[in-house]
Amino acid sequence: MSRIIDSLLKRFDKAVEANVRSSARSYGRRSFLATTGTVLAGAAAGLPILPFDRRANAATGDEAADPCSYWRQCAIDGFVCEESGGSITQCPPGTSTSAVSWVGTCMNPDDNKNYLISYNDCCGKQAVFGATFCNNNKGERPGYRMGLYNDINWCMANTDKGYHCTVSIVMGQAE
Amino acid sequence: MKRQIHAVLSVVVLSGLAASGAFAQGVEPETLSVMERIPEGPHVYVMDFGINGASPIYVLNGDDLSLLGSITTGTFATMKMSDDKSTLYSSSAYLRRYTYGEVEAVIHAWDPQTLSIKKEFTVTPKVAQALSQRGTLNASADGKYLLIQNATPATSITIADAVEGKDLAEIPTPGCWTAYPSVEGMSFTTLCGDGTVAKYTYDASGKAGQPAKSDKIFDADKDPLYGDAMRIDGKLVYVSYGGTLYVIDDSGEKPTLAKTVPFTEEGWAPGGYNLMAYNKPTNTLFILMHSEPFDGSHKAPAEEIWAIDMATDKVVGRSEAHHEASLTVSATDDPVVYAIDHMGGVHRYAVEKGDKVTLTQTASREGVTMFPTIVEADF
Repeated sequence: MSRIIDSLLKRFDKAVEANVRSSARSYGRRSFLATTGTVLAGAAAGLPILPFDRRANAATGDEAADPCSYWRQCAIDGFVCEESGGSITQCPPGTSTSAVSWVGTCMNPDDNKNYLISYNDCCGKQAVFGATFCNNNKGERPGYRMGLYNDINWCMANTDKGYHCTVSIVMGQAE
Repeated sequence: MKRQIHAVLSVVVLSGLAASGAFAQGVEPETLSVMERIPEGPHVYVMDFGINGASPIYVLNGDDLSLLGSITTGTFATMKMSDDKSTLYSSSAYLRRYTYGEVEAVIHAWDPQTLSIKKEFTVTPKVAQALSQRGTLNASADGKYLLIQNATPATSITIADAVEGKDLAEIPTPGCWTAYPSVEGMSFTTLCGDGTVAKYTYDASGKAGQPAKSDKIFDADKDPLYGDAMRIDGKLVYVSYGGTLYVIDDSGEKPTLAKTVPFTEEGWAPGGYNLMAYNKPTNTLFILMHSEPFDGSHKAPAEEIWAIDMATDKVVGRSEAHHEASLTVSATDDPVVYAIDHMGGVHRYAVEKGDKVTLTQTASREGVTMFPTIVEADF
């Protein structure tokens, strides 16, 4: 039980910390997707990891210690897959990728450019409570902008609807 | 064989009790029973979202917040207390193989005093597996129909017969979210991403024609509205991320914007999930607020609870909060506010009325739930 409580505390500590850290981001940057609220299908097919994506090549530093503050997690709401047996771009073995996803627009501090991030859920297993739960909401909207909504099970269109964890896929530049 | 084992075990157990002196000390044989109901008095119902399994509802004493019992629903649940407080409705999903397989979406009608099932029935498995919120499960004003939010992710509303326990029909509501029943008649109102508010009118079979859409009322890019809404003086009151109330008159053919009420001040904004609560006898709206807002802070835990006099549209009180993300208030002349924090704790506030409204925490209990999402009271 204490492990579960520790996990819970960790989860919320991370969420609060991430909120504080992201407070410096300015309001008003929005992508065309933020305007249209388009739902991406098949995002899990994915794009190559961009060469300046340091996290893909190095798991050290503050970002590794705090997965929620990593720049591409600006609109994530879920358990991170890299602590669930997968990676930031790969679902853990034996799961399925969500057929639909929500989208965030996050600024990469390395080049000051905005990128469209597809947040796909991985489906068909229970969540791993040892994994960090991140709750960032930049540009998030209620279900009337479904493609920007993160308070829903994005495994909803899969055969296997059990929510497991969330990956964050760079889809391309937003602007 | 089974009978023989029972006989042998009984002898062993009875012998052991005799040897231990239990009978010798005069303890009378006891009778196993089930408590018929929770004790009389005020009660508060706290839903644990249960992202990793069932969504339980913990039932607490409304005065001291001690645990009195619980209700267990499926996963990704929400709940709604009927206006007369006689039924607690829930909608939730049951997956055939727990994390995969065929989905059964179930509507339960619970007796909030005995915590037992009054009625249950299945509806379309399209029911939205969304975070518990007021706009995704509602009952019509006469209590005959239930309005249930679907998402595949295409959105629609299921009309169910609450009396017969039957799924009647699905009404497509593309680009719109939540459904709040009209004060009279068979209609509901929903928020749409193009900034309009749409009103759908359905018949006894649950079918609806084209919606009556308002003019553009809000800007989902610049100052989006939360899905949470309160029915106040016959109108629907929404709140924007930036801290403006949008009062919608949905009594006519199509919804109209009655007025907007910018109530916040620089450096403060609303935050949370089910973040508003309205007490009719005092005509007071309570809302969770946080400081230093930014793009993405709209679910931030509360630092203060603000009270707004809905007669004058003025903020008449600001009280210390305890990191809550959802709240409710009693319907009594002396309001009691219950709020749930992001760590799973529950807080009870007494409300001092008058020109200045002050909330004082009178009880709190930590660790009630893992993932609290919505709270109701039965008084």
